[in-house]
Amino acid sequence: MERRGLTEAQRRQIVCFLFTLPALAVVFVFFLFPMLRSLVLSFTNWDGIGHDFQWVGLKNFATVVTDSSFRQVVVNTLYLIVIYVPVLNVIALLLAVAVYNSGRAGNIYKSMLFFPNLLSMTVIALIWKIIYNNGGILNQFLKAVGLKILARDWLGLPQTVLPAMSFTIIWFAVGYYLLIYLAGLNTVPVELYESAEVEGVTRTQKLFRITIPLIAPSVTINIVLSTIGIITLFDLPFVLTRGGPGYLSETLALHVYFYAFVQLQTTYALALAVLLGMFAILITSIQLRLLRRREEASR
Amino acid sequence: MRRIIVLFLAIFLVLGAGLASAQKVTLTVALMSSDIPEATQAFLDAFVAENPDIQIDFTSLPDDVEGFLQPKAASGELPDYMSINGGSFGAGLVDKGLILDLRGTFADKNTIDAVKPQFTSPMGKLFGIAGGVSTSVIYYQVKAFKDLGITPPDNWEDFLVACEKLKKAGKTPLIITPADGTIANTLWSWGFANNIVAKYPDYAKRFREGTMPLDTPEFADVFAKAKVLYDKGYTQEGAVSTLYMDGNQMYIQGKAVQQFAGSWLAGSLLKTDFETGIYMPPWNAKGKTKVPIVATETGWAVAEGPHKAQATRLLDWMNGKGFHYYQNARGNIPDLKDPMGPIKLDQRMKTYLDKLYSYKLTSGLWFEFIPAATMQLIPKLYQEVLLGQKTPREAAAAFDKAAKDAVKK
Repeated sequence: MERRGLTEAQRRQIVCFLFTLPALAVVFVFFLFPMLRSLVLSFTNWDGIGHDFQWVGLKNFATVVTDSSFRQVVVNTLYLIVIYVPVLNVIALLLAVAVYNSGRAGNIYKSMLFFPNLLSMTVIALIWKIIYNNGGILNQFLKAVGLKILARDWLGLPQTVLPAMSFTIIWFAVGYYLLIYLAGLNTVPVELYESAEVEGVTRTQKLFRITIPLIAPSVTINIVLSTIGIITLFDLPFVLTRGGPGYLSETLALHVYFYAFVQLQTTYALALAVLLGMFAILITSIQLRLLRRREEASR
Repeated sequence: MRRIIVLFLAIFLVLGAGLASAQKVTLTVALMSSDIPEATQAFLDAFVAENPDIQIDFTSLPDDVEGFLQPKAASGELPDYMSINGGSFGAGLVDKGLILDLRGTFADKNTIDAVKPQFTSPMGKLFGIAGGVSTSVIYYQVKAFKDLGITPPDNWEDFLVACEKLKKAGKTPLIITPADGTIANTLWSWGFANNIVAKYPDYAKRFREGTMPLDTPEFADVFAKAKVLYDKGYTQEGAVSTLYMDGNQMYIQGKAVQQFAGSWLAGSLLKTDFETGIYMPPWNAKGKTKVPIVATETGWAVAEGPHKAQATRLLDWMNGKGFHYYQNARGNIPDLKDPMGPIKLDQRMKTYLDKLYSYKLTSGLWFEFIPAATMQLIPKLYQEVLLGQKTPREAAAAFDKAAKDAVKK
């Protein structure tokens, strides 16, 4: 039976739309609606429990931003982005190049490096808490090898807490990003390396002149993903340090949690979550723009 | 034919089981019980055995009861029966009609009056029944004290002398746990009691009204005492990052001579391999009378909902015939007029309680009176003070501002 007034293409579009409706409904109910509701409530004085609230304008945002701890929390997040994103990506890329085409041994290395990703971040944090504790494995090792002077309360000192946390995140994440780089390396034609070898090109030159330009899309993905990973980092600092000492290892996402579930100031948590979302969108947009430009330049 | 009979039997059994379970009410129960998992299971099993029309869907709560309950309250999914702390959060729930006013229940009638104000809302509703009386004490290794000729000190100055002796003997004098909120149960609450409550006995009302003066030298001293202990090396190495559970384990393993902790840990800390004694934390200045802590244990509440009758039955049972299951495991201080079962209270704790109850002026624990918005601040401020990032006076000022802002909001 043919319906009048609808072309074949239009009917197909309607059918396609109907097929996507269930997925759209899930996205709307579980993602868009809560997001929009949170945005609306961040401009109110909702107490987090009842149904009554009044509009308060930008008051919640002003309170959150002028809080004495806010600056420290932003600095921590930026510190982690600046340290973690480049270091992680350099290590992952170098390891990917090293284990690529290494045969069976390469597979063993890949499995070992990816292994931490099979564990939950909470488990990882507990393991590293035992390692970093004052009486933990790291200090015991340092004392055993005569380096007692280096033993310290790694998670309790301002100088060491963020580097210690960064190290743990890199250890955890490197395998995942390595796999993305390996996928990128698979797309590089082998003939290019063979020609380069004939031309007498060194390994370093191959890396910078052939590999990196040709896996630029993987670099872009990894940089954006690792940045988002840090901006939304919650579970590791929660278990490892609870954001301490003071606010020195508290991330923005953890700060949202403390507002919402410890201080029970839901609207402050929502305001900060909105700022966090905007921050993530801004940073990743800038990165994407710069990296895409670089990708195009290297083509 | 045989197959048909078997099929009918199977259908009959499945339907029968379905009908039997349909008659039962499933109570959702969320209790803070990670320290006594076996005992919790035992008392829930015992309750179900006595109440065959009820089955229980149990969840073990994390330490931050409010953090667990708040989103459930917001989404109208509070458990039928739950742990709850005294203070403003529960008061808000009962005044909004989300949990029951327990006045007139058997549990209410069987509980001593002293533990009810902390569980009473500004509208006069009883939102929870305390799980017992609580305080915090200093647990100590008796032998280490005897060997060095130390008697339990009676004031702050003597306490420092005792710590110095212990340190000189190569021992770690005291465990403190500023990495999480539990330091508020010990150093903060005792400091507040002895420095502030004596001057402002109406402290709870002042906190509610936002008129509690905290940007003062007396309140700064609450933080300064911790700094003195830390700077003089009287606390364990890595004190800043020590969590509550780690601190308890360190004491049990004999790694320090004293542990400042809650009476709710008597069940484990008084059963160490070495002899342990307890004494009242001497946070008072020399010549001044102590203001000790007499507070409430985390208690229980009942949600407004279709199962409130059954959940109230569990509440009455927990505060009557079933109380000993819980009390025996924790070794905590009962608050029931008639415990209706064998209570196990260590003789050392009994002696301590006789002394504790002789004080006319006492104080509550922090969570019973400070605004929820300031709870997270306490461990953070201690950590910052210990590391020298804030002076005790700056910490006092920050707390003062946060407490007043919370009331304004």
